[in-house]
Parts: sequence; C-alpha cells; structure tokens
Amino acid sequence: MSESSKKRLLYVFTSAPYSNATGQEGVDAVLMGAAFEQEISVLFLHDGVFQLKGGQNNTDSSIKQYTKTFAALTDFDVTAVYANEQSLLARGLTTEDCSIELEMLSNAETAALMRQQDRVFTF
Amino acid sequence: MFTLSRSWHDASWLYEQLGFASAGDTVLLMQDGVLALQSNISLASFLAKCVSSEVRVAALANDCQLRGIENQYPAIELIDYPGFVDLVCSHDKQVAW
Repeated sequence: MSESSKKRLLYVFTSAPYSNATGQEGVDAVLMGAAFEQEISVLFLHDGVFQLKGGQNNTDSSIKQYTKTFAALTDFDVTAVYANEQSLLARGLTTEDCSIELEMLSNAETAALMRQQDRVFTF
Repeated sequence: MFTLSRSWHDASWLYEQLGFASAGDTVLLMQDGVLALQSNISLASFLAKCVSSEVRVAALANDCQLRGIENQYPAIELIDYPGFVDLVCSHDKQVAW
C-alpha cells in the first residue's frame, strides 16, 4: 500500500474491561486496522486505563483475558500506544501498574494526538 | 441490599448517596463497582458513614481478581459467589445500581 493512501487512525479505549464487550471489540478493531497496514495509534483514556492494569487474573472466572492482546500489539507494528496521564492519576495508578510499555500524554498532548488523525474510533 | 456495578468515576455521586443506606443494609460492590477500590479518591468518608449507620460493605472477590484490583480497606469484606448467594437470601430485596 502506498504511503499516501494510508490513513491515520486512532483507537481510544474509554471503558473498563470485562463488564461489557467494548474492550474486546476495540482490540479486534485495532488488529483489523493493523492488518490493512494503516497508521495506527492507540490511546487509553478515562476508565480505559483499567484495561492496562497489571495483576488481572481470570483463573476463577470463565472470561477470556483478552487484555493480554495489548502486549502483542508491537508484533502487529502498532507501536504508538499512549495513556492519558490524568486518567491514571485520578485512579491512583502509575506507569508501574501498567502491563505494557506506553507513552504518557498530558491533556494538551492528548488533544494534539486527536487533531493529527484522519479518523478517531472510541470504545 | 444494594448492588453497585458501575465505576466510581462514572457514578461518584452514587457512592455518596449510598452513605445514607440504613442499618442492616448491605452494599455490595460488583462488576465495575469494584474499581472504586482503585482510585486516588478515598472511600474513607463513604465507609465511615456506612460503619456509623451499621451498613455492611462488601466486594465480590472474583470481580476484583479478574480486574487485578486489591482491597486496601479493612472495612470492606471480600465475598465469593456462595457468599453473594447468602447475601441475596438474607435480604428481602435488592436495589441494583
């Protein structure tokens, strides 16, 4: 695919995992975008930062731990992964609590990231 | 019995309201409700209200474990599914929030 036909796509995770299928749907959408070799960014915002929290354990629940997929995003050449710093702070979380490596964005940087995109999808 | 299944960050007002539950009631945090245990906003004032009005506060252990949430509040009792069933049986009605 030529560089010019690539779209800048941002996938924003805003809800916590497991109570509904939103997070799983977001992951599927990211992987689909990656399969079509688009320019992909992923942002965790508001309760979406709970998707990243370490220590998740599904041994006593019959629920698939799809959040493990986030660690594999780099295998799909999705390397632009961000979290909003304020969202983490408000929930008493730090980068050390996160299960994957990502870049912290201030509110101003978050807004700038959104402005740079061709499309923004929210989950 | 009140079951609270929404995130604190979506419904912080709800937690304040629950401080006015009456003696003998139980507030059970479940599903995204357990996320209240992971916040820089302390549940201390909510729990103090509950303790002083003899309201029991519990959280569903499975939902905490799945989300990687640890209970930092001695006033909140972690319960398993059989414990949940006991709660349902010992209260005459459930208010689901």
